[in-house]
Amino acid sequence: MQNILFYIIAVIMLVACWRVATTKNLIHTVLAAFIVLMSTAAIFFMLNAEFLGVVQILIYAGAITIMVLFVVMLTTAGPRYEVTHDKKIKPSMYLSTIVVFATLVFLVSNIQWPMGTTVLQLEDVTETLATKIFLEYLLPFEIASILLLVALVGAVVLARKE
Amino acid sequence: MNDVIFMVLRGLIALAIGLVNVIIYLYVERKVFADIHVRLGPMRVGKHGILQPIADALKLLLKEDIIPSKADRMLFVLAPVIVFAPSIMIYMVIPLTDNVVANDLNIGIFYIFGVLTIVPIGVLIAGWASYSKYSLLGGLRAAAQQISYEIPLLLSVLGVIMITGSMDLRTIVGQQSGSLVSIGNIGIIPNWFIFLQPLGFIIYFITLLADQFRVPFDIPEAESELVQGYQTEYSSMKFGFLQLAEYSNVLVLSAVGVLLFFGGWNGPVLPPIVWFFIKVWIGILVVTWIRMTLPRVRVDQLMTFGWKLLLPLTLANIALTGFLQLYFA
Repeated sequence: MQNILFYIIAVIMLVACWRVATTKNLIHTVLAAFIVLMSTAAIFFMLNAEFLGVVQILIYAGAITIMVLFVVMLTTAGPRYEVTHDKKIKPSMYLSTIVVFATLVFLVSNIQWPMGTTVLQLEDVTETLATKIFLEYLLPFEIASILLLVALVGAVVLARKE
Repeated sequence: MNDVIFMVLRGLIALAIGLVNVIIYLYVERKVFADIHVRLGPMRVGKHGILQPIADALKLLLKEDIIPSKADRMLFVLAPVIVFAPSIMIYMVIPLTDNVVANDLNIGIFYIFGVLTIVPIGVLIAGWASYSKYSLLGGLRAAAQQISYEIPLLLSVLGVIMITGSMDLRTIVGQQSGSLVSIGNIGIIPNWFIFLQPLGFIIYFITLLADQFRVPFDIPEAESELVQGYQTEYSSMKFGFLQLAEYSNVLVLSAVGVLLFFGGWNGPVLPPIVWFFIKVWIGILVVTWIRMTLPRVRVDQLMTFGWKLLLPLTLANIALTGFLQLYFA
């Protein structure tokens, strides 16, 4: 049952990924990305990681998709706008494709993948995560939040210049 | 295989209970409106118009389904689904009593607010796909409003989660049994979190109204300026779904409010499930009453109110709760 569900979700996810890359209408692209993010959340739920699944929905599928939608709607030229692709293939495209593919092949074939999975017996996943973030890794967490704040303030300053 | 069938069955029962309540809500709202206006309201279909919501649904189903020729067909059809799906997803985790729940999730409350963030996407898509000025403006306003008010909505609940130390709705309700103040054996004030988190509850209630576009925050569908907002171009059952989603979400948020602040199914004499529904329906009646009483606020007032007043207040509430917990613990 779990396997069948996983394959269904995986197929949906791959089709949506393909749509993200090929669709010309920007809003359709964003929605395809939304489907990818939601299926990622579904996979988290299947792995008993409910907290991560909900975070995925709340932040990626909810907040970020909305933000991208707003940006697309407020910047592009009307609802009929379509992205135009430059059909000519340049040498740099071959190069970047080969480099990325080779790196991936190298990494995938060299990593010692753990065989089989074990279910972690955690009393409360939320509590464990909280202890890790707010006690063990407090400093990196705070540095990351300051980084985000700096980015936020920077964006406001840049936008206010005009 | 058996447990899969059982799981699906439980989901369907939860869905049925939710939808039946939504249908009753449609009827009750019309009757309460009529009462406040000193008129009779629907009286013709069935005794006292009790079959009116079913007649309405049939009418919507039988009407011609018009898709505007310039609309983006795929997204136009998809948008009502995206708007309606979250409320179905939420029915699955709301416990009606201690042992009646379709899927007992130990982060229930977090899940509910996570899923609710999908709604503005559907609203925005609905407004955009219609290819109409009113729809687009309504959709943008609606999405902006929901995003701004979801933050205080989520943060207002945090006080309760801090007190209980759990995001499991059953644990939260379990901690509200008994009484806060009692004389002898008779409890006078129940141990509900509204007495420990009054500010949290007030903010929760205001943001509930704003998040689901109830009056006085129904700016996205301000009839006098935007016709019907993002729903303008919709007809037939697609319009029905958009409307149902709003009613359904008010129901869901009322239920969550009862579970968090009013002791859920705790109560004397009557069985727990009856207490739960009594409290949920009192919440819905208050929302309906407010809808008939207050005028609408302006769009700039709405944003100022949300970001400059409610957000700092919720943060202050969280800080205060944490401080008191440290002091008394």
